[in-house]
Amino acid sequence: MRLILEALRDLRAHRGRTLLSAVSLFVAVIAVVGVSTVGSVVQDVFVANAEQQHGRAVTVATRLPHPVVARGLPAVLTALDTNITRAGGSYLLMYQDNAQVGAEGGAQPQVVTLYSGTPGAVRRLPVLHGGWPAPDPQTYPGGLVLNQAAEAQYGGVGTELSVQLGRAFPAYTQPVVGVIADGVDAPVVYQSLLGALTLQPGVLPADWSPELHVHADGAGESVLRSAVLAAAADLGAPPTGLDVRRADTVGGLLASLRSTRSGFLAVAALTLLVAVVGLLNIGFATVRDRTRELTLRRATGATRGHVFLLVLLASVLVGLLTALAAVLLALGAVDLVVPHLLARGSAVRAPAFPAEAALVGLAAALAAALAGGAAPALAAARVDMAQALRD
Amino acid sequence: MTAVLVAEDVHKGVQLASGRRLDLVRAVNLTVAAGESVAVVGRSGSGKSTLLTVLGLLSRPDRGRITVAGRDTATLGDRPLSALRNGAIGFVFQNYSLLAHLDAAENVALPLNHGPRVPGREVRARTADALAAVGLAERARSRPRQLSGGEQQRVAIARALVRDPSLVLADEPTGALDTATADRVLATLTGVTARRGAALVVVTHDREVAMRMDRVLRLEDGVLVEERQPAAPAVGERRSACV
Repeated sequence: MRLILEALRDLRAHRGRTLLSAVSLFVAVIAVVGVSTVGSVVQDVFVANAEQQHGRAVTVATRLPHPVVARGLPAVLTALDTNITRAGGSYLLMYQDNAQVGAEGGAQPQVVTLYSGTPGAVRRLPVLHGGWPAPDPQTYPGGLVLNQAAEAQYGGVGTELSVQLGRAFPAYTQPVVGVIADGVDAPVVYQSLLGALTLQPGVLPADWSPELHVHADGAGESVLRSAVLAAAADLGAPPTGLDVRRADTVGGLLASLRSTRSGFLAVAALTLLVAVVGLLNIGFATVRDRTRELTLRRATGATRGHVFLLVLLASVLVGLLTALAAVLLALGAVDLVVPHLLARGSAVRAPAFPAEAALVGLAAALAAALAGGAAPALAAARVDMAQALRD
Repeated sequence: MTAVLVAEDVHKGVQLASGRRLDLVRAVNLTVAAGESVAVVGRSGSGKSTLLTVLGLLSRPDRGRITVAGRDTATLGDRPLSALRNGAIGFVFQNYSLLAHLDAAENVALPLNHGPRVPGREVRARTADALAAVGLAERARSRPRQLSGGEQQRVAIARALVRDPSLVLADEPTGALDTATADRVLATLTGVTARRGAALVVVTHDREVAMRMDRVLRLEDGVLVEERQPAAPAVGERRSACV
C-alpha cells in the first residue's frame, strides 16, 4: 500500500511525462477496446439479422412431405411435442397459403403464413407491439400477427382484418394482436395453424407440405437432425426420406466476421506496440532524469527491488487508470450512442456492458504497461549511484 | 573507542570512454571511530566523491574490504547493504538533493520508509526531532523551493540523522552555499553529529571546512595521506583513530 501511494505521488510529481504516457497508452487501449466493442456490436447486428431471417444458431429445417403429415395436424404436433419440445427444443411449423386479406371489404391478395410452435424461439423476431397469441387451445383462433410492412398496409394492433384462405372458403374476421420485425420487406400475415383450422376446418389442401424449423439452445446440428428424424419416424416416414439441412447462416457469418475482426485487432495490436515503444522511450527518459533522485532513494535504504517496483508500479498505475478511462468511454458510447443508432424493429438489442471488451482493454493496458515499464524499471534499479553523484 | 568505519586496502577505478581504466582510489586504509570527524580533501577530480560512494556502500570497491558498524560488507547482497545504508549511514550530498515534490518533513522521513517498519506516530515524532535538531521545526511543511539553500542543506542533514546512524558521510555539504550560510550549516552538521555520537566523514575541497574536523586526510593520486593528526583527546571531546 505504501509503495502504491509512493508511486502515485511520483506520478503526480512528474505530471507532464505521466500525461504523455497516459495519452500514448489511451490511444492504444481505446483502439483495442473500440475494435473489440465495435466488433461485438457489428457481430451482434449481423448475427441478429441472420437469426431473424433464417433461424437462431443452430437451426435445422426440412420440408415435411405430404405422406408424413397425412395423419393430420394433431398427430404431427404430438410427434413434434414428443420429440422436440419435451427434449427442450423449439419448433416452427410453417405453411404459406395464398389468401385475400383486407380491412373493411378492401381485400387483396396476400400470402398468409400459417404456423405452429414458438416462432420467437426458433427465429429472432422482436415483438414491436402486442404479442404472439398464446398457444392455448382455449384462446383459439387467437388473432393475427403482422410484420412491419403488413402493419403499414393494413393497420396495427386492434385492427380487424378479413381473411379468406382459399376461394372455396368464406372469409373470416380476425383482430391483429401483434406486430413483429421479421426482416422481410414484403407484407407478411401470420396466423396460427390451429387457429385457422378452428375457423376454417379443412382449409389445408390435401397435398399440403409444411416447412419445419427446429432449434434448441446449445444443441448441435446432429442432435437436432436426430430429433427431426425421430418425429418423422413417429409419423411413419422412412429415415432416408427427409432432407434435413442446416437453416441458419450464423456459422459461416461468424467465420467471415472473425477474419475481418482479426484484421482490425492486428491494427489495434500494432497501435499497442507503438504505445509500448512510446512508454519505453518516456520511461527511459524519466529514469535518466530521475537518476539523482533514485540514487538518493537508494542511499536512504531503498533496495534495488523497491526501486524496480516503484518505477514499474507507476507504469502499471498509469496503464490501469488509462484503461479505466478508455473502458468508461467505450461504456458510455455503447450505453448512450449505440442505442440511438439501432433502427426501430431491429433484431439487435442494445448491447449490454461489453465485459469482454473491458477485460481485453484492461489486459492490453496492463500488458503494455508491464512491457513498457519493465525495462525502465530495471534500468532504474541498476542505476550507477557513484556515476550519478559524480555527474 | 569503537571503530564505526574500517576500510582496508580499498581500490576503486572507473572505465574511461577511451577504454582505459583510471584508478581513482588506491590502497586506501582508513578507520573512523564513533564520535570522530574526518575531512577528506583533494583536488577536483581526485576521487574524493568516488571514495565516499565506496565508503557509503553506494558502489563496491574493486578490491579491499569495508566494514561498517562492525559488519564486513564484502559478501553482502543488495538487501543487507541497503539495510546498512538505511540504518547505519546517513548521507549529506552537495546541492541538497531534496525531492522537490515532498515537503521538508517528508524528505526527512524518507529513510524511515525503508528498512524496519516504523509506526506513523513514531515517524512523525522522529521527523520533528530531526528537524528541531537542525533548527527547522517550523518549516516542516515547506517545499524545497520555499526554503533557502542553507535551510535545504539543514533539511538534508536532518534526513541523514533521522535513523540515528553511527556514520554520517557528507559530500561537499557547503559547496553550494555562501560563506556565512556555509558556516551555520557546518556548525549544525558537526554539532548534531557530535551530540549523537556519530562518526562524520566530510569530503571537501574547502580548507576551512576541513580544518574544523578532528582529522584531515588528503587524497592524492588515489592515495590517502594524513595531513593533520588529531589533538590529544579530552573528556567529552571528539576522539580520533589512526589511519
